[in-house]
Amino acid sequence: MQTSIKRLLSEPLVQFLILGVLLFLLTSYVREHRDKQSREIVVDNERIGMMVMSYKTQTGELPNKVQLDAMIDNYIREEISYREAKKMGLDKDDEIIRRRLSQKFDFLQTDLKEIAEPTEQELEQFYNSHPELFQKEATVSFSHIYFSTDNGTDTKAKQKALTVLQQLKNSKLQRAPEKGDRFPLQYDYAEQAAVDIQQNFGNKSILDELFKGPLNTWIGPVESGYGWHLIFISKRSNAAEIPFASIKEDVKAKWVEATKAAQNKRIFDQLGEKYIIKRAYLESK
Amino acid sequence: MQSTKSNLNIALICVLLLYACNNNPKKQETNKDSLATAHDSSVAIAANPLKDCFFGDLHLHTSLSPDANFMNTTSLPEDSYRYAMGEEVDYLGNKIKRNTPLDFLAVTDHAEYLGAIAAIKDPKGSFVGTDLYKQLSSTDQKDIAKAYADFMVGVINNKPDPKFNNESAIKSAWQHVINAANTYYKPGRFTTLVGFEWTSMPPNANKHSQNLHRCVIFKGSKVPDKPFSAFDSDDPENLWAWLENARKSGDDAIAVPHNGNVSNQLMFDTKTLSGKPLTKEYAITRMNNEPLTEIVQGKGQSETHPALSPTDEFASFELVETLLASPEKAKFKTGSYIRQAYGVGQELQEKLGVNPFKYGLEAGTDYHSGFSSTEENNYHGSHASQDNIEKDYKSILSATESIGGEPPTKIGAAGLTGVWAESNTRDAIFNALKRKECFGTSGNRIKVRMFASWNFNKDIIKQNDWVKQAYASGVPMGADLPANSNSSKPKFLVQASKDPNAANLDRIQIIKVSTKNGKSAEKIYDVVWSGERKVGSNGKLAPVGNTVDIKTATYTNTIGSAELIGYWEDTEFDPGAYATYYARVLEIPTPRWTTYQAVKHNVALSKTVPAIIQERAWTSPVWYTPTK
Repeated sequence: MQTSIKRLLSEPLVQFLILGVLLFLLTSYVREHRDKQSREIVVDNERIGMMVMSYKTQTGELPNKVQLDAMIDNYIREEISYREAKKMGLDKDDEIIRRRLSQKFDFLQTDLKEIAEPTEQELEQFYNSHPELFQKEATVSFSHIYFSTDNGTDTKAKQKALTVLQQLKNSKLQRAPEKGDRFPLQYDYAEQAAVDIQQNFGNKSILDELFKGPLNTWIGPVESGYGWHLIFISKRSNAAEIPFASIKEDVKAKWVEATKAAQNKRIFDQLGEKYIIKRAYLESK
Repeated sequence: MQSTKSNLNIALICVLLLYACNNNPKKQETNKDSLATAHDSSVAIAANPLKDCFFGDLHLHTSLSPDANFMNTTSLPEDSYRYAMGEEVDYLGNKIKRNTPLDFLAVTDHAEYLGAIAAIKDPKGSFVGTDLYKQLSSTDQKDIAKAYADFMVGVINNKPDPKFNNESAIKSAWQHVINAANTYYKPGRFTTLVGFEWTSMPPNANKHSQNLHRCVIFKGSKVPDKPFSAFDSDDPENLWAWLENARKSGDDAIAVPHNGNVSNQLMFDTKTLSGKPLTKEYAITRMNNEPLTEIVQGKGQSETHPALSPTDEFASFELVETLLASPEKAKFKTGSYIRQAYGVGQELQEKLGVNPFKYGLEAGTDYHSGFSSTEENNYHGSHASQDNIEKDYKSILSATESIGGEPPTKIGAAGLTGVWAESNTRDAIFNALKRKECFGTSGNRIKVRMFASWNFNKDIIKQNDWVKQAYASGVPMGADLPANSNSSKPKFLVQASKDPNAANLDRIQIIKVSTKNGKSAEKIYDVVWSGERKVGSNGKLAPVGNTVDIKTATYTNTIGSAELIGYWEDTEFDPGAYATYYARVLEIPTPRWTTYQAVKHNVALSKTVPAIIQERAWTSPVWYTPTK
């Protein structure tokens, strides 16, 4: 007898039948359970806590019993209509829902991984490969002599400047404010960027001349918003990189920013690899 | 029912956000860290003990301000900073750029519904598809007008409409303001200040709004998690209490009242908003919180009115006389203009022992475009769709009225704050504002200094180191003359140098407001002027002349001076009278922006405003208090 049962059980057909029955029992159990779950709306303490909190953030007060009951009823009603709507497939092809889900996903995905403290070497490498982020503006250092054009003395002032320029040509002076008129601002300027000149002298020919004119000789007269000037340019530095050591913190901030951006892109690209993108609009008819 | 539903929606969004944040505690912290380090990099910035002059705008709105957003302004604080720093930006489809960049800027969006309209209109935001989104994003002006009217109901009644008063949107917009300011702060080069506007406008008997607005400016970025709004309270005393609280846990802050001209006599009233008489404590609190007031901005100057100062031939400058968003004229016989308030403040000081109106002066634009375009020949309108000059120049320049309020031509290309500070950093600039060593201009970069002392030497101004001597033996603008035991009279040094991209200077005046036994008087003294002019028998200095050609909108600098420097002694000084002294610098006449635009587009000049103006600067005063 035992052997016959054994034999029977070793029959592939019987094995198949038994498996079938088990599978049937399992699936019907799962279906029933799921069905029950989908009909069950649980309002637990956690849920109520969230309702109370959001009410408080909005109104600054705690809800009373009536208000809370109304909120719970509202929640239940909304949950029912939400589930019914989902059953009917109303969430498909709805632009707002799509966008909201995508935003929520993005929000949860970004900056997920913590970024390790960069090494000195990493920072230096970043600094070297991104010179455009750490540029110093071109600057100019100079001394000038001012010739006032107040009260319609423009031609006279220019003439006087030309005379002084002749005198200076044979001198070794690099600074001679007393040969001109009193100037309301400074006579000597160090390391001025173009914006400083714009602000202090105006958008006049002096701006161009300071950044293009010859060094270590008196030139002019050039015009500013105040009148005429003779200028002696002692130094000019081109737009240049700021030394690494003096802006390490800035480099680090920009490194963190760039690393985060790169990491977020990498994560998204990895996700993208799982998908096959068909650009049907490009295919010829 | 409708509102409970939308409440619930908002509640759910809040819950979702809370959830999301809780899941990501690390994320927030790393953000804060990176900001902190970006700041600490402000290594030693050179400081000039004799101070340099920096210019900026302390009053500007972007699309985060709901009204600006309704006007189709799209700029964000980042754009405002870029424009101020001299970059080219896009404005209503045109490229615009300042002739001369600014040195600092505070973006001061309205606290009420901050960022809420922007959040609703965000095409990627959570309101997409809702009725509110559709209504506000409509391109039909009628829909927008309707939405705006609906929006204004809550503003006028000072009762927030829950559909706009979205706390999470307000907090996130506020964070945006703070982050943008931190990102664009370049110590030594460009200073950004975190700020907002508290927009109190209690209605008068006819339900028209009376302007009590204040801009709040913070020293740093350690600030409360949301701004104080007029919905919280429209009484300035409550704003001051909030500021005092904010200082306890964070950075220092000041409030700057503006547009006394359209306050309907409330700004410098002799009673509190709740109707009580002013007390000593009120005066102390007010001055602790409000060292400055705005002397000029887009919507006019609040120095004085020709009817209040009939002998001042320069008083009729950039007048705006209509209550905001209303066709009703503002009452202004008292409590509206600062020159008069200087006297009233001293009258109160005689009684209370403290002057509640001891205000220094600054200026801003109050533009709702996001861009501080204060240059007369480089003005593009300031309220987006409301005055899109490039597109609507014809109707704008010919308009004589608008729907409520003044025509857009009345808005001035003004103003800027000049600050005397040791360096261009948040600390140095804020401290200068707080000690009132600052001044306002009608939009140009006119530099003006004023010092006072009992014993200045007349010849000090001929010496190269006069500024050093002036600081050593006198006090600068914004300060008090020290008590004096001998019988000398106050002596003043004033110097002004022109904006090198604008016109020459006409004159420097000192305006004195004195008070004795409850009576105040004002007097204007011409101190130094260009050319060989003489003071006539009527006591007035002859006008500087006029080189403006209205047909071509041009002028020449053949009159006026690049610099004026002068010494003045108050020979009429009465040691028993309170006195407020401030300086006013006038430029030679130049075309107003409306004239530049009329010539550019070859249309008739606007009839609502003068074709020619004299731009100017006003210093913070120096005060004298009699010893008792």
